[in-house]
Amino acid sequence: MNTKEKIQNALDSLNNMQRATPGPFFYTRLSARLLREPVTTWERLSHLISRPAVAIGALCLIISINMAVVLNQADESNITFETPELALADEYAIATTSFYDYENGETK
Amino acid sequence: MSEWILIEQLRQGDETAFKAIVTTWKDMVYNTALGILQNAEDAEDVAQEVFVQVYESIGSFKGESKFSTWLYRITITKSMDHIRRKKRKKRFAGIQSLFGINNEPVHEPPDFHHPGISLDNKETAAILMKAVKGLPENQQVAFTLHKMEGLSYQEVSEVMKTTVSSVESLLHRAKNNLRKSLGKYYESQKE
Repeated sequence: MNTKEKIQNALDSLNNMQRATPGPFFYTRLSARLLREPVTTWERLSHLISRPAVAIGALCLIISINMAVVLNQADESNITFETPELALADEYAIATTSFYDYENGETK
Repeated sequence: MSEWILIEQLRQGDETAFKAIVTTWKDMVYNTALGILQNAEDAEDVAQEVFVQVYESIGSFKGESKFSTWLYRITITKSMDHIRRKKRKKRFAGIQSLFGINNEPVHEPPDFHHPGISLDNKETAAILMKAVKGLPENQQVAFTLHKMEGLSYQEVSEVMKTTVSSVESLLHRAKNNLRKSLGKYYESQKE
């Protein structure tokens, strides 16, 4: 038998095939499955998270949020670095007009 | 009893109706799943999943298509999901073995022998089934529905939500691809 005939034989091998049937007591096993505890929300959530697309997507989202926060904070800290003296004065309440100056002015 | 009466009774939570539905359509669901998955245990698992979904979401069946068409669609979706899940697990096991976490050898599944094929065709059919496994998803589905479930082009098109000409084209490409891979197989056997 040549290759062409073998191929045709293989393609025809499914002709007149019978339907396969599941094992006995299929309904009993199915009922047992239906009676099993319903899936909890946590199980559903963990199943969802374990999907590669969701996991990679979530990871990318977390990384981008982190980047955004870091960049934003770097911008804010730049403003502070521009005037370190003022920031120091602000933090330690070193103002140009003090309580004593005011009092001195009043006594004069 | 008419399928519409059974469906209506199932919507009202009648367990006898559910049992009748399972008894009527279990072979169809199982045979379709078996054709796609080529593994008896997996096919039984998917067949159960299908009926669990039928039980839970019978309310969403609007009756726009035949009940069997709806069942075929659920079966195909679940079978494809099962294959993807298995592939994912296999890939993950491969990554684990790279890092030496899981050193269990990955076993190649043995040749699949469909129980509905006559004894004298069993070996040839097993070679064909192996080639069918290598087809693209939609070609595999069309081939399984047409060849193993005996659906007409019209019925396959309804299940796959496509046109009859698309099904014809899918099956034509499937047969061409099968001829190619079977040719390669038989040529390699000669050497």
